[in-house]
Amino acid sequence: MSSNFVTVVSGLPRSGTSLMMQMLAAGGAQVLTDGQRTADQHNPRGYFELEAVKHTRTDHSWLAQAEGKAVKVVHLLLPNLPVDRQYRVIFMQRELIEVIASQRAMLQQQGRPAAALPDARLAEVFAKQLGDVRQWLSRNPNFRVLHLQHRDVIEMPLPVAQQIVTFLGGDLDPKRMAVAVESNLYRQRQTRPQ
Amino acid sequence: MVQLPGKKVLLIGWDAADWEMINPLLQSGQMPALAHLLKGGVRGNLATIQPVLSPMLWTSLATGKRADKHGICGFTEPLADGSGIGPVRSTSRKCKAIWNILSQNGLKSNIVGWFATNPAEPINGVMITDQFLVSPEAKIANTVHPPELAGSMAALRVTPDSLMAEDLVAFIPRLAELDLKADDRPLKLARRLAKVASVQAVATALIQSEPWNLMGVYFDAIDQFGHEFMSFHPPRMPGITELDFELYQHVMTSCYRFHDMMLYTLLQYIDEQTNVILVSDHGYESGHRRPPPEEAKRNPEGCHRGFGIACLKGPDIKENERLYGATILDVTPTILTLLGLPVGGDMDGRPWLEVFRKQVKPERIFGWEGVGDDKAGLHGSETRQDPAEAAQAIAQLVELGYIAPPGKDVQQTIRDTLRCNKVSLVRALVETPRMAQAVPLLCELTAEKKDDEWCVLALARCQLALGQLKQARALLESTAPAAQLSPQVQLLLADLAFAEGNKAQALSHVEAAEANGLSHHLLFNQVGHAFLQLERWQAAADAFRKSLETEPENPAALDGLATAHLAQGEWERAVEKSLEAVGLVHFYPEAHFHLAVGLERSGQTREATAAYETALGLGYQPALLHRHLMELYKPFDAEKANQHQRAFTRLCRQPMYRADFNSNLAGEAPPSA
Repeated sequence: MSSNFVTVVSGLPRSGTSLMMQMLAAGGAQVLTDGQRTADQHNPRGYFELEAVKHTRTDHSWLAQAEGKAVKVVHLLLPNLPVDRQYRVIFMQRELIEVIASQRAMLQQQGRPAAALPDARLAEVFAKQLGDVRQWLSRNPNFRVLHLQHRDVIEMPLPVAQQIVTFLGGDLDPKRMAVAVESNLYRQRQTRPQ
Repeated sequence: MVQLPGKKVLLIGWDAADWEMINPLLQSGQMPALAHLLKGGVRGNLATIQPVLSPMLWTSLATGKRADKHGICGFTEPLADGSGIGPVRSTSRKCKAIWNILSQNGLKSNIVGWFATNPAEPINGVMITDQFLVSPEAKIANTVHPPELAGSMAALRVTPDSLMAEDLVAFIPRLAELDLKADDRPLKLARRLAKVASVQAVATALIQSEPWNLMGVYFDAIDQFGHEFMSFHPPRMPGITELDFELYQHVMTSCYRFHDMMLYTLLQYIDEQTNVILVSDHGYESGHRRPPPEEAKRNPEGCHRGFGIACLKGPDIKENERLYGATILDVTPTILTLLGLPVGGDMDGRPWLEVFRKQVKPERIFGWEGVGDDKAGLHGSETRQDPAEAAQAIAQLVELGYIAPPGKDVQQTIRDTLRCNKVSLVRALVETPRMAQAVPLLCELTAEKKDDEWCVLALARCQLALGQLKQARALLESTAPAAQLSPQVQLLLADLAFAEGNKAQALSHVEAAEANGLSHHLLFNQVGHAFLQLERWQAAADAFRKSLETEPENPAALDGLATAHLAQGEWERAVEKSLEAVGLVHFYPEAHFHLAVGLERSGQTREATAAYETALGLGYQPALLHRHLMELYKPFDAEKANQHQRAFTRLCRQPMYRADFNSNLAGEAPPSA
């Protein structure tokens, strides 16, 4: 992967960002993670997160070590990244109802409170957040974006991996990336409409 | 100059403008432009609605709806990314504003500086948002529609540092004596003056260059100047030094005169087909009822008076008339009618047909929501949001561990903002009154903060109104012993005792409240109502008179006095007071009912019928009113009498909890459920 840009994996929590980080790592990309958040039943292969990223609004000094590497940044923090460098963003998308079901399951298991909103309302709020972030990305030429559907990653890992390699360039191995996808981890699946 | 053919409306908003300030200036010839507008036009009081907070009020003014329908509930709201709070945004508005309705009907609006309009909506016309006036050059992208006007509009903005000393001398004649390092008030004045001058510059440019059917311009300076300088307005208040008084006593009158000059300029650019409407959202205490300076800073809303101003002039408006019973909710229905468009049935106001030159029967539609949205210049549905819901979603992301929680101060600020906005919504609901809708919100608020006295008392008042007497008593008895001695709690306990049928206990609570000392007109009104229930008419009348001494423009006291007169068979005096009450506030169903009773008893049957119909239209005790109307129509309109009889019979099958059925005003009580 080129050291001229930072690779950012982004999207809503539970939209497949950890899966994408696994793919990149398996394909030979350097990933920026501190290993603080360890694997659990929701992400058995780990979260691939960097704690410092969560504080990006007030401190983005972690970016100094991010060029040429892949790092996970939740969608809402993208507009806090400084526009003084180049980014390649892999933006994960997933059916919002699946995302919300997965988030609720995770929070319930952890005994933490979820938003007291009906799923449909929460989906509308998340849709607006995503729309705002997309609009912001479209206005900032420093950010090149590849939008990927979570379902496509699961169902067609190799073509998707090749797409990623084309987007990021460098010597990533698409076959090893595809092998990293475990479809049995695709829970909260919505039936595709016929 | 670009002029569209056909009807036009120039709507000018002067936040907090008040007749009590304006009248002396008119008499001394210091507001000639306004005098010109009033000569051959219409003037009246414009009743505000609760809570008296400008973003809510100007949105009500622009939508014809109360806050529960329009969704703007305060000055600030949480930012979409959960990182703090920011000015309330147009994306939080839940319904169409007048400019959206005009857009979908092919009419053009130029709107300048209106509250809660940022980001700019893509309307048919021009939108210069409130945030345009305060945003740095680099951040004006979303503050102007169409965006290509942003550069030229930004060039018109006046900055405080561009003002010269001469500009301020009109407001502070002894400016040269001041050390600006030690006294920053002239600089505050300069900032406010620059902002209002920017509004005027932009409006003056747009009124000439961009075609319009509605030109709406909002000026916040009278309110803003008031919060900083009204304490120095004559007569000198206790706590104001002689020097400060001498230095700043002219600021407020100069502020009004400056607005008059700006009005003069705008009036130069209208044609003979333009109707002008000048309004304020509320008044501002300027005389002996001004709160002390420290209290005014603690509670700015306490400086606001319940009545603002309304002036109308134009080809469709009667000459030299007075407008009665108008509220800020009426402005949008009136503009729609002037422009030949139907009024939404879901709007809370009414068009001011009585001051139209020609008789107009306004068309009504069920509502404008969901109709022609694609042409209404609305934000996309994906960009509109409820800030409280957005905050919940952010909190979920924090819980999931993907975002660090904001600092404790920020979290507290967000919580306080959401709470404050929820309280404002409750106040809007309670005023109408929609207690059943307010109760769940109040339960949430009291659960969050058990010692919030206002919320506890409001919840008890709602429970009492809904007949939930046990819950109300339990709640009141759970308050701290010291709080229970306050006049507010004692009067509430008196109402509760009345509802429980214990008049002796009610009287003891009223006496306890009086013994603790009353000073606020609302408390006198409560005492008056308590004495009405005790059928001590003279004591009730005395309490209402004391209330009127404290606050003369006081519809509740006038209606209470009318009720006391009715109970004593003084029909004409009752009618007189009722007319004064509904003249101040049209949306006052009880007062219309009491007016009707007075008219009926004094033999003015036709007028009484009209008043009963009005009370019914405003939703007051339908069963009671159908019964009265049934009796009144019997002699001359059998069909209408039958209609009311059927409605009465249907309604009597439903349970009711209404005080007037127990009073001697209703005559024979209806059959119980």
